[in-house]
Amino acid sequence: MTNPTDPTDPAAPTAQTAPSAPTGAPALGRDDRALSTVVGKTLELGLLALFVGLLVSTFYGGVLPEYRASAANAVADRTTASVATELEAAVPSTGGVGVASDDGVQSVVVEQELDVPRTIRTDAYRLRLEAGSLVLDHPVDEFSRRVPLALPDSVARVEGEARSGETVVIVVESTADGLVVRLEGR
Amino acid sequence: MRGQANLLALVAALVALTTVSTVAVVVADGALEDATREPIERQGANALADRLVAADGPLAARENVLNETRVDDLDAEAVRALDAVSRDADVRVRVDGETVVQTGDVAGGTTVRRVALVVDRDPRSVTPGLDGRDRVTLPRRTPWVAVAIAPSAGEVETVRANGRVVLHDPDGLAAGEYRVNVSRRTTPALSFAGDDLATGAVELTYAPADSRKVVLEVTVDA
Repeated sequence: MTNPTDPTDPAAPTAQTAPSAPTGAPALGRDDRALSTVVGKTLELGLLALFVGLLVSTFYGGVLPEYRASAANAVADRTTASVATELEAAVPSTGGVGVASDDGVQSVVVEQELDVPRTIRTDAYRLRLEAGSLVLDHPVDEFSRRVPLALPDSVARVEGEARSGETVVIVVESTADGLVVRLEGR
Repeated sequence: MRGQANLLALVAALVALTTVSTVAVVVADGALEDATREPIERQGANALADRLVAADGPLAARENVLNETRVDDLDAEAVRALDAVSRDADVRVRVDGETVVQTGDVAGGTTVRRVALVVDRDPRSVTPGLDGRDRVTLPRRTPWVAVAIAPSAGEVETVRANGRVVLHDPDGLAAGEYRVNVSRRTTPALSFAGDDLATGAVELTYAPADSRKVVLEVTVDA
């Protein structure tokens, strides 16, 4: 690496490493050549450490949390939409099938398992039915959702809740008042 | 710095690495942006469209068949009452490209389409000629026939629709209007039995369907 015929090269580290001992300069000047690699490697190491630190702080400080949040937002949207679609599809149409809806002979029992993500941004969440709406209840408010459900008039009420880790089941049952749609976790 | 040639190489490598990671982040950003849909908006639009064409919906005569009068009467209030989309979402319903209902300012949004039939039942009356014959076949199919029996001309004892007795009184049917349900899948043939039947003894009102195919478009802009 060092060129022994170049007189300036050994002089440069000498002046830096031993400025207070000018008397020993010629002797050190020769021995100093080995330091060049050490300094070089140290600089490389420092540069790499700086780079890695910068990269890690950029990614973990800004890019990754932002991506996780937007991915979680999308997952929350999709989960809510698909559960709502399944709920609406699970309710059978009782109108126009040749039997009057008020004569009490129609008995409906529907059970349907749902496939929902276990976690949204590594947090468990709840799915809840209340006041004609589907609520996705996430510990972080930003990822919570509420969508109204369009259900036929034959549905008397919706109720129940399920945690995301459980098997989520839609149950539709006939009662005296009408159909009851329930979410259950098993 | 003569001895630090590989330091330059390292810097060059780091610059390259930084470039690659930046490009990767940009590409990932683009992918995320591309994958962004409006699933809740779409779900709302689908739900609303399904409710509108459902057999027990506010417009339907039966599944996928809409009653024209009800389509014309549809207003924003009725659409809101279906509760298919959140209150702050704007909704537009079009039937065959003609806006029937619009709430708020719909710009863009998600559109779903359903093919449906719009049926208009316009009641028509006919006075069958009963001089010398006792049968009349209505020209069009209808789900019901109103039989109006006049008090004067003759006495109607029995009315049959396609051979099935639908009205009968051995002492003669009292004057007035009787509504008879008939199959809407066959052309109704009515026959009358009684004494001294003449034209004008009965007047028939029936409701043939004039239907047209339409595309129901529901746009939701959340």
